[in-house]
Parts: sequence; C-alpha cells; structure tokens
Amino acid sequence: MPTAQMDPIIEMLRSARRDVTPIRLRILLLAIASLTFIFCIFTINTVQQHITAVQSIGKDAAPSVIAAHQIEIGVQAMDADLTGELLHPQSSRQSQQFARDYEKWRVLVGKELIAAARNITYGETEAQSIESLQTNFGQFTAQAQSARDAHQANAEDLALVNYHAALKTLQQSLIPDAERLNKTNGDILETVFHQEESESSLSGGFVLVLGIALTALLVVCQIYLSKRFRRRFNIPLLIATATMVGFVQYLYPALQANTGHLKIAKDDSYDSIAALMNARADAYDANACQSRWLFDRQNAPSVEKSFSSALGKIATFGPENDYSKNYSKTVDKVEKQIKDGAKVNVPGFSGALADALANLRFTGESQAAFDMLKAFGAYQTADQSMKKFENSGDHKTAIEIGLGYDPDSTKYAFNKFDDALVRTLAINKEQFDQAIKNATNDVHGLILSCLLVGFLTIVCAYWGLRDRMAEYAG
Amino acid sequence: MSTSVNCNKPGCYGSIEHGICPVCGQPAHAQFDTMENLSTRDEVLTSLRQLLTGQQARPTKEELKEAADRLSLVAPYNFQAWRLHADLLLNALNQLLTRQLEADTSFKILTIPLREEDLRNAAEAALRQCAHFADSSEKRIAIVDEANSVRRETWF
Repeated sequence: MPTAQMDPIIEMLRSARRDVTPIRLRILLLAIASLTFIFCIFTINTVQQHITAVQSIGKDAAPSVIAAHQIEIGVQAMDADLTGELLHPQSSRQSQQFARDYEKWRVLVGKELIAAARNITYGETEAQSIESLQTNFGQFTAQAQSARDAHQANAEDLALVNYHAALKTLQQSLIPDAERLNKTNGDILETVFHQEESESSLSGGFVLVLGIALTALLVVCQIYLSKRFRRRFNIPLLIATATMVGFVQYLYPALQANTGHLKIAKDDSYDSIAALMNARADAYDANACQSRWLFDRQNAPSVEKSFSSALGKIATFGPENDYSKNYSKTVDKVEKQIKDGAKVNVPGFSGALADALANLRFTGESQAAFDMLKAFGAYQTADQSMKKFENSGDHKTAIEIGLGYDPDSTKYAFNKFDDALVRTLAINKEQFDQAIKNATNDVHGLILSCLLVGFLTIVCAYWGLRDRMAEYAG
Repeated sequence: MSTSVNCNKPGCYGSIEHGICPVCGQPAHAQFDTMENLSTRDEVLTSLRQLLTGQQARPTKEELKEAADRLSLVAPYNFQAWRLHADLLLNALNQLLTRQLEADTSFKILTIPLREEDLRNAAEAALRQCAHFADSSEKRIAIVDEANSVRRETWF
C-alpha cells in the first residue's frame, strides 16, 4: 500500500494516542455513528426475525395446519354421513338428515380448501398438496354422488361398489394429502419456533449489550466534554443518551415479551390445538368407521380394526381386557387432579386426549377437556352396545343406536364429545389468537422507532460535537 | 449588572465583552494612537515577558498593574502580544487561586476586575484570540485546549 495513503490514518492514530482534542472529538463522533449504525442494523435484523417468526407461526403455518385438519375432519364426516344416508331407506327422514349433513360438510371442506389455497407460503410442496386435495375432493364427491344415485335407484350393490371407490379416494388420496399439507406446515411451524426460541435470547442479549455499549459511549463522550471543555452538560448528547436509554429499556422487554407470547401461542395453545385437532380427526375417522361397520358388513373386521386404531389414538386407558375398570379409575384420578390444580398425569392413560388434559392452561379448559373424557367413555359404551345388537342379528336396533340421536346412541355421545372438544379448541384458539396479537403488538413499530432513534443519536452527536470541533478549526 | 463599554478603536462600533471587542478583536485597553508606539511594541513585549517569566518570585499586585499599564499601550497585533495578554491574566488568576492575591473588584488589570470569574472569561477570550495567530495547527490546538481548561465552568 502506498505510504502517502497510509499517512493520514497513521497520523490520526498517533494523534489519538497523543490526546489531540479535535482528533479525539472526531474519533468519538465516528465511534458513536458507527456503533449506532451497528446497533440499528442488528436491532432491525433481530426485530425482523421476531416479526417473521410471528408471521410464520401465527399467520402462515398455524391457519394452514388448522385448515388441513378441518379438511380431514370434513371428509371423514362426509364419509360418515354418506354411509348413514346409504344405511337408511331413500327419502326417509334420517336419510334426508344425513344428506343435509353431508352437504354442510361438503361446503365446509370447500371453504377450508380455499382458506388453505389463500395461504400458500411454503412453495411447491404445499401448493401440490392443495392441488391434489382439490382434484381428489372433486373425484370423491363425484364417486359419493354415484353411490347416492345408486341408492336412490335402489341399486344397493352398485351403491356399495361406488361407495368403495369413494372410500378408496378418501383413504388413499384425500386423507394423505390433508396429512401432507398438515405436516408441511406443522414441520415449518416447529422449525421456526425452535429456531426463534434458540436465537431470540442470544440476539436479544446482543441487542441489549450493544445498546448498553452505545449508551456508555455517549456517557464517556459527555464526561470527556465536561472535563475537557469545562461544560457540565452537552444538551444534544444528553438527549441522545436519554433517548437511547429509553429505547433500549423499551426494546429489550418488548423482544422478551414477544418471545413469551410466541411461547404461549406455541407451547400452551398451538400444541393443544394440534392435539385436539388430531383427536377430532381421529374421532371423525372412528365415527365414519362405526357407520361403515354397519354398512359394509363384508369388511367389518378390517373396519373394526380401523375403528380401534382411531380410538386408540384419541385415548387408551391401560390393558384392553380391563377397559371399563381402567376408564373409571382414569376418570376419577383426572377429576381429582383437576380439582387439586395438579398437572393431569395418570399412568396408562395416553393419546391425544391425555395430551390435551396434560396441557391445561386456560380458564374453562379443564372443564371442557374433562367433559370430553366423560363423553368419550359414553361413546365407547354406546358403541359396544351397538355392536352387541348387530352381532346378535338385531340390525335395526344396532342402526338406531349407531346412527340415532337418542341419549343411549353413539351419535348423542359423539356429539357431546365433539361439542366439548370444539369448546376446548375454541378456548385454545382464542388464546392462540390473543397471544399472536400480543406478539405482533410487542414488535409493532420497533423498526421505525429504531431508525428514528439511530438517526436522532447520530444527529445529536454531531450537533453536540460540532461546536466543540469548530473551536479548533482555525 | 454590567454596563456595556464601547470599543475605542476609531471606526469600530462594537461593545467590549470579557475585555475584548467581538467586532474588531481588539482588547478594551488598546491604544490606537501614533506610529511611534509601533516601534516600541517589541521592546515592551520583551520586557513584560521577562517580568512574567524571568523572575523567581511571582509579580506583585503593583507589578501586575504596571505590566498591564505598559501592555495597554500596545495594540495586540500578533501571537506574542495576545499570548502576553493571556499570560498576564493567567498570572493574576493563578495568584488569585493560590490565595497570593485577594479578589478586588476595584483593582483592574487591562480593564478586567481582579475576580476569578472575570479573569477566566478574559483569559479564555485572549487565548482564543491568540489561537488565531498560531503558526501551526498543533499550537492552535494546544492554545484552544488551554482556553477551554481555563474557562469558567458552565452548565452547558
């Protein structure tokens, strides 16, 4: 490097060592400007990370996960309503009721598909899942309509064949597509949250350290001016210092609050929502299996297996041969633990319901979750009763119990279970939305504030040092 | 409450602040009379320099008064002259601070009352004027530093 170019820098460094006031003032100004710049860049980056995490978790991933679950639940319900319709004589009151329910769920699935499509944020995988869902949903409804048409025409064998085609589309395409969409968004949500969790304390701490360093530098500059120029206070530097202290005092807790709210949204609310949505999807799967068991008698053993598997995902209470005893014990223990305010933990009790009960955080949630548990037991009891009648050859009574809405029927217990589940979901969803709203508010306007504070600090530092440097200008 | 004093330089309408006219930069005591003064300036400055720096003991109040009277005959025209003005004021200030002299507002050096605050203001102003005539930036910086170190401590 040419010596001539090095000279001013070396000279400046030497002058700084020799305590030459104007050089010191320039160095202080440069240091304040540089540190302010670094502080602003790092703060904006950190705040942006928090905003992205809130956006990803609260607005991109979670609604898609919920939409994917709703689609899965919806098509399972359509399957159950379809079999219900096919099990009843055409034009009967029950058949028409099932047709109306089927239509209700079809409209809901369509809406959720649009909701999911509106929220494509994670590229091809998500888009492909939604495209596939759209196509297969169309196919499923067409096949289901063929089965209904055949039933209307009293061609029950054809209705069964068409139903099997619709079921195949449902089980082999629609459900896997919905699960893939769910998994894509769920995985991203988990990744973003854990990344945010691990980075937020580090980046927040660094922002705090930078803020303290900048404040210290402003104080050092103030002391230097006070000693060197016999001026006790430099007003612009005081303004800059006070602004920086105020901003850092606001910024750091805001970032911490954002992380806290995101944690509430994810750990306390979203995890419960995901567990409950899974439980609801499994419950609708079990409900569809139950209707199918009555309708598709040839495949009853495999349907029974699917039913048990779906129920097992919702809740198991220990060894199968001692179900009633285990269930009663579990209910008593859960009730006691809820009353005592303890965390629900019963040995042998597992599944989505156990997960939801273990993660009770909000007012009203414990009662709703406990109602779910009680309704689940009633549902299983009604199911056993239905199967007993069917196996003894009383198909009519079995249908009444399996598809009716009397207090002893499975649908009554199922609806009670579903109501309690939806209530628990609503509580968690409300808390999730509130936590996301709070997390958004925590970081709202921080980037603009940071830019303004940074600009003000540099302007004040220049304004405060300019007159002092001018004294040496000659 | 202080009354303003007009600068006595012919053609200048400035008012004296801290012993110096901010318009023409001349001290209040400067004599703007005849050409013969010009020839004796160097002599006056040299003798005053000896008075302020040459002797072991500090100049007495009377010696300071005499030096001020002699210096008032010389209009500051260069670095040395302003330096001498400043040194005279700084000398008085130091003696005041070390209790060798007592504050006395009726006693004036170069129109400046013998009081710490006034002496600091005047010395700072003289040093800043002196800095204008410095022949190198290092010297100028050193003198401005000195002016800042001697100035009356203020809030802002």
